Amino acid sequence: MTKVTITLDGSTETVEQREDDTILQTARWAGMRVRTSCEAGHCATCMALVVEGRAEMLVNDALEDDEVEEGWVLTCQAVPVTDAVTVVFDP
Amino acid sequence: MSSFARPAPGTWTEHHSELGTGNVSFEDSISPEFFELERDAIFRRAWLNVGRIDDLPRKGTWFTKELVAARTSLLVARGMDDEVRAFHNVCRHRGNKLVWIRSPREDAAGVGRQFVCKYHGWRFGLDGGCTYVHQQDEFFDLDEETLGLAPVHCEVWAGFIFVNLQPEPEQTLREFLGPMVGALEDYPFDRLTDRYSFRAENRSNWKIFIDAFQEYYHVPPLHTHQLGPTARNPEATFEAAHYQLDGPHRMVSTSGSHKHRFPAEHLYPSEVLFRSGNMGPWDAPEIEGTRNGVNPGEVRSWGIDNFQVFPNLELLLYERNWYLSYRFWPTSHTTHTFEADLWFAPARTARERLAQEYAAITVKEYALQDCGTLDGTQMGLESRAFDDFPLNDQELLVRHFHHTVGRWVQDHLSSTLRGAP
Repeated sequence: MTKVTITLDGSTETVEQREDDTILQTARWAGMRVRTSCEAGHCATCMALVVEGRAEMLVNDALEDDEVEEGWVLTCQAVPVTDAVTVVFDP
Repeated sequence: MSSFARPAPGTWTEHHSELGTGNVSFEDSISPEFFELERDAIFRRAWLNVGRIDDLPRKGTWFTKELVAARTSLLVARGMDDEVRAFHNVCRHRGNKLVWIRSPREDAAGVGRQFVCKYHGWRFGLDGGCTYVHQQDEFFDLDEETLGLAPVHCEVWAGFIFVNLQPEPEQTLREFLGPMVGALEDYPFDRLTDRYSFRAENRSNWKIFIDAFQEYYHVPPLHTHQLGPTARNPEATFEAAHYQLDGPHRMVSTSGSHKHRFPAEHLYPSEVLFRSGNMGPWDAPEIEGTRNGVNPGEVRSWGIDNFQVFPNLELLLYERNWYLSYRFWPTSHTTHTFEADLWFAPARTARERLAQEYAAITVKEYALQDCGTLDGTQMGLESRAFDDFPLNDQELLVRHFHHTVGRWVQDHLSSTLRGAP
């Protein structure tokens, strides 16, 4: 089971990922209200920084290479690929 | 009677003879027709402060700003090139409001790379250019040059983001701000980044609440509780040390009230405990650098500068190295949105943080006391029991403000009559 730890607007939740949920879906499952717009990988409204573990994006039409290298993901497209992932919105 | 020298011929008001000393009408604050004129004459003509660079902390951040008085919503974004740009928050395709999160009537903020219209999926970059048209082949003679968002003039001064809704502003932002406000450019606003924000929907004309903050004549009667019970004096008076006018802008400096030097028996126990109060945390951070625009009257024992930047921004600079900004956004002729922000140097310890929080709640309490008179003033004025009202020398800025608003509306009416834009 993959554990996802999410920090948003000053509060932090750790939840288990269900099936192939994206980080955005996992955050919603945890009751967190992430700001989003297109939810299709174009706008980057939901971008967040992965500070532990790794997540891969299905579509990335918004972030630049150096940002992806720093750990930024589009959470609507990012699915954890390690057992523990820690994500911070608005770090 | 005066503790502070007043300019020739002996009063602040007579020194500015164009303002007169007669009674002043507040019809401008109760007339729906006058508010309709203010929309174009002021809010679509003056430079307006819609935020600070702190609201756009890195590339790709953006916020929206509902400008009800100007009948538009703005989208302000920091591009990948770090340029701050403003646009009408409206999709080029069918005029849908482009960016919102919870409700199209609520301000929103976030980070992103493109704005996607919720209606037909058109996309726009942070520079306003159209980046994607869904089913582009179905359109007729689309001119890609004109598919971007409608830009709005936007300039940043001392970290304050201003917009101007005129097609071509009559003045640059710096010309508009003039020498008095412009001299604050070197103030260390960029070092004061810990922020406490309040927002309120108030039931009064926007100018009535501005008036409550641009004279201190009301302080002893209305804010009796500013001093501990032993120090209260029902006969107390208040005299500001210096007044200055510059074009549509105005300022007042006060002297004195350095609470960190008061004897403890005149203070509240909580003030002593937190070492803080309505004048801010007592232990001021060291902040180097010049402050050319501060205390222009060279007031001894200077306490506060209160700059009223036309039309609706107020900056209060405190001797303890922090500042407050107030903005007043009309939503109708009898309502407005009040935005208050306190800005401090980042707290380094829990004690500093608590002192800031104590200052913030104290300021909020004072603002609530000021707010408490609003509804009653609006109702009283609307009764039209009196046509005009006497203003004293300590109320110079109230007189100047309503005079200025009247002049801007008159100027607008005469330029409309002349057929100018």
